[in-house]
Amino acid sequence: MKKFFEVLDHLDRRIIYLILFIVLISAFFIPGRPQNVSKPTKDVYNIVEGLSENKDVKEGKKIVLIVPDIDAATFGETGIQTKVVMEHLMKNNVKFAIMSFIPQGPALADDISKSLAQKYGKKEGVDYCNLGFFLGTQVIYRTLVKDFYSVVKKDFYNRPAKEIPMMKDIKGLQDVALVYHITGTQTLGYWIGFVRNDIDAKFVAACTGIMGADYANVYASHLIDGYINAMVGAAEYEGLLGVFGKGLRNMQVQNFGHLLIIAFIILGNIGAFVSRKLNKE
Amino acid sequence: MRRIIIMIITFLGGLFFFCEFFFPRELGLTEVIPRMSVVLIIIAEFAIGLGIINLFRFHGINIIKKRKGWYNSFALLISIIVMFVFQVLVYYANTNAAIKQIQDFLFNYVYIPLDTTTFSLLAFFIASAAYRAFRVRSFEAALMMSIALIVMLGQIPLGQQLTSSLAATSSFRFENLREWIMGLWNVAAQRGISLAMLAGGLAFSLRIWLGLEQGSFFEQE
Repeated sequence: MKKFFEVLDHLDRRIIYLILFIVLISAFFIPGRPQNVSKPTKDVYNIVEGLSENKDVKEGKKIVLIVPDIDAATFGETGIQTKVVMEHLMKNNVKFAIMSFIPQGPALADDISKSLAQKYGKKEGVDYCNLGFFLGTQVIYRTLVKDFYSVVKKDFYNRPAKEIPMMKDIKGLQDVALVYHITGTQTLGYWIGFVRNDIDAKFVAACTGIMGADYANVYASHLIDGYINAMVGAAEYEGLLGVFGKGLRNMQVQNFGHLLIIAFIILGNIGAFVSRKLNKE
Repeated sequence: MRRIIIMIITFLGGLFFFCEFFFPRELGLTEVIPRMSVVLIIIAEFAIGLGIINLFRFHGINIIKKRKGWYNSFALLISIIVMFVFQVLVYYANTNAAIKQIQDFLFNYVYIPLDTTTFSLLAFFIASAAYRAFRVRSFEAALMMSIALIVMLGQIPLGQQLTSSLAATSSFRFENLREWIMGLWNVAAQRGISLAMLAGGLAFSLRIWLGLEQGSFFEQE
């Protein structure tokens, strides 16, 4: 008995890895459960939904700016967060432009927008466009507000930005109705510090799970109007959209991963407590 | 002499942004911002170039002298060269489908899976760390573990299911408890940390601006 609890106390990490691997793989084959929707996610959904009532947005005089500051490392979360809002915009016929301050961002977002454009019959350059990558220094953010086209000269496909059909009425960030910023980095601070107060637009965001605690603070301070927190937020958004996609499916995997970690914590504590007690005796 | 020049440029740069932010726009400083952005882009490009030269110097020596793990350096340099060459080729010959296909393949099927896999390994480390580190040895540890469990259970549907028989507004439902912890206690702690960090950042910036910072660069002179 003593031996058993000692093993439990110092369980080989390879066994932990193997159990986790089996549980995560098995969870892919179990159907997902509906997710309770949190207030920050609901706020993002309501703002995006409300855009279709906006006269300027309907007439194409104002657009949505999607800023996918994302990379492959966080794509499991940020990719789905990007997709759900793009899908919502395309569904409601709202035009949007993509611009990123992370080199991989435009390419990753381009794949998502292309696949959604096929599904909803949207045309690149007319219903959405990809402005590409920009070097993210503090001065660039300020310049975007003052003189948009001095920064945004060519798009992702190397075409002059001013010649993109949907951009013909867009003079700069003052013609943006909503900024949606997705990231696993700290770039949100630049948007809040240098852009937010100078433009008349709603501002929503999405972050990775590890940054959720920071964003709760930013949201509570009303510096952003809503945010999608990690995979769970993306799954909530899918539920609101009525789409059963990767968010809900991956959340099921995370569901089992969390439960297993909780089980590990309890087992580890039982092992440590009992073996300590037996050793004393 | 070099130190004085750097100090003067740093001070003037800091003074410009200070005045631009605090003084009225009528002064015209704000209009200079777009031109300043071009200067900063050029400086950043130089920094990237210097970084690449440095990487080639360091890892090139590793390969030439066949130091321990030289093959890792070799793989790094080859990867940089291959990605760079195909990116340049795509830029200048973007009508060539074969080149674009190879570049897409390298990005979508080599780089992205490698990056994602590396990050995904964290899940295994977290599980192992949770097993070993979350031990109830004191009151503080017990408190931290309880809060972590509540937040985790409030995040996942199965956890939410456990308290689903309670009223939707009940404070004892896991998801409501989680929102309470995240929205109140977490925010209070985060704001305290943020304020302290910003005060530190401000002091550090002032030291750099006024040339008071004695970093490693100045000590070498």
